[in-house]
Amino acid sequence: MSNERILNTLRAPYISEKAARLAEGNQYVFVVAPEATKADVRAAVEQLFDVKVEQVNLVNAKGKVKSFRFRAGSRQGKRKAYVRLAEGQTIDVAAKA
Amino acid sequence: MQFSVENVGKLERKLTVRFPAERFESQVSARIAEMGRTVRLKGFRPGKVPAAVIQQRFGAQVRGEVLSDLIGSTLREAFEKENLRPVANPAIDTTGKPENGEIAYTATFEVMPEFPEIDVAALEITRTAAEVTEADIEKMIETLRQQRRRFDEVDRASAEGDFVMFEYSAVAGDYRFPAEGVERAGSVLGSGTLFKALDEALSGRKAGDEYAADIDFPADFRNENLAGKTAKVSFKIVKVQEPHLPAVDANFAKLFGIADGDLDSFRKEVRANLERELKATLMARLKAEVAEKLANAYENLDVPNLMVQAEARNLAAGSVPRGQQPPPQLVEAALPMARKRVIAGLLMGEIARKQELKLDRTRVAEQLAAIASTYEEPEKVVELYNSDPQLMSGLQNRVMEDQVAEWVAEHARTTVQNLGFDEVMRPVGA
Repeated sequence: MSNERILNTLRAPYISEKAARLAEGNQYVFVVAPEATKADVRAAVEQLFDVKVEQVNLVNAKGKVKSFRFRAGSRQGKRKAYVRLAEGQTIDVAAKA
Repeated sequence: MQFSVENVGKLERKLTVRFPAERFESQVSARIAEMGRTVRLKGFRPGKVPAAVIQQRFGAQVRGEVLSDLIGSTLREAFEKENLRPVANPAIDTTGKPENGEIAYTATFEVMPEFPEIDVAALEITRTAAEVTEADIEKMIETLRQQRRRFDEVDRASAEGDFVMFEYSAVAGDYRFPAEGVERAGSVLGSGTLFKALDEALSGRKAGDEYAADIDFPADFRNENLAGKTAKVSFKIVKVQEPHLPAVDANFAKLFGIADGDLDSFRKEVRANLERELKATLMARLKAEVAEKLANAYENLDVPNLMVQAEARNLAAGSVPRGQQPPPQLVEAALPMARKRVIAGLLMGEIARKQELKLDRTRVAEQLAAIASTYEEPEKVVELYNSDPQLMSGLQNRVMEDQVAEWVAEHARTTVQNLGFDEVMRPVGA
């Protein structure tokens, strides 16, 4: 996989109460590019953070539908990746955020 | 907590303090728990932020704060136990990392010098005394009349004291001023605004006169092209005005805020003003005298270097525009003067402490009233002072200094020197 693709895959760490709870179980959440595959995310995380990835789950979250002046519009959706690391490995999300 | 003091220089001390790391850690975690309840972070409901996240986000900041708090409190403790009186803030040096379960830091600072017995009685102080006499009031009123004089146009030759408005142009060699046409100017003859040769050329002329004269411009004339040269100057007198001094009457008094125009109360007002100024000047003189004599008597007192440096910087800063760094050589030059002032300041503080001079509240109030009375709305000024602690403490300091100066003057060998009002008010050396 090309270097460019790796750097384009991960968009941001996804910060929420759920993500904080999962981090204790060695699972980290990222917002990733809409076209990214599990293999992309795995490669990106392994290379960028120098860790071993055990499993990647992807979720497409659709944007909320909001109306403005009686016109329905929708917010941007996002693709989230739940990345489980191998036992004993950590990512300092805040340092990268 | 343990600490040890090292004497580095005469007044310099090095304090090494160690305290257990647990004390630090427990405060850090308490602070983090506290933050967890209050902090708002995106992605978390208020109060639901896990400690781990806060640790990650704000850990460094919290640790820094706790460390400086702990250093502050342990330092105060150490100062109290060792009976040290540091001047200025100590310089703290620490790794901030626990070693062998302890956190250590060193504080370097200077202490107040040990004061020798201050023998005030040996000081010879010249105290200036003066009173406001009727003649001074007369003079003041005369000055006020001068300020309020009115000019009326007259059709006669100009004489000293008259206001002359004229148009002129000057030619010196190839240079002409102004380049084209004429320049209009006005001056009171004999008042010294213009130089003498010009005053002479303008006297004895009537409105409408046109003439030319050779004028020697003085070397320090503000226009460089004319300075030190002889120029042919053509004049045209526009008008001559004669001064009229207002009579000292009810209307005159009203100008100065005496509503009923009563001359007696006007004189009283003038007297009160003069007396207030005289009092302030006398006090300032006494203070300067006391400070000078004290500093001379205890010239060899060891004073903290830091304070001298700071004072020198202050002094030097006074001679450059506000907000600019004074050049180092200026600071250097101010050092001896700064040393004197620091010595005087320290000694006066020490006297106040030794003699247990208390700040005199009524005096502060008096002084405040005196300051306020020079403003149009005295109540507002008083209110401003009362609401601004900085202004108030400045005022209290001044009063305290006054009190110390007076105490010294009372206990020293004081000779009273009687001077006239004018001699006191004129600054020394002017």
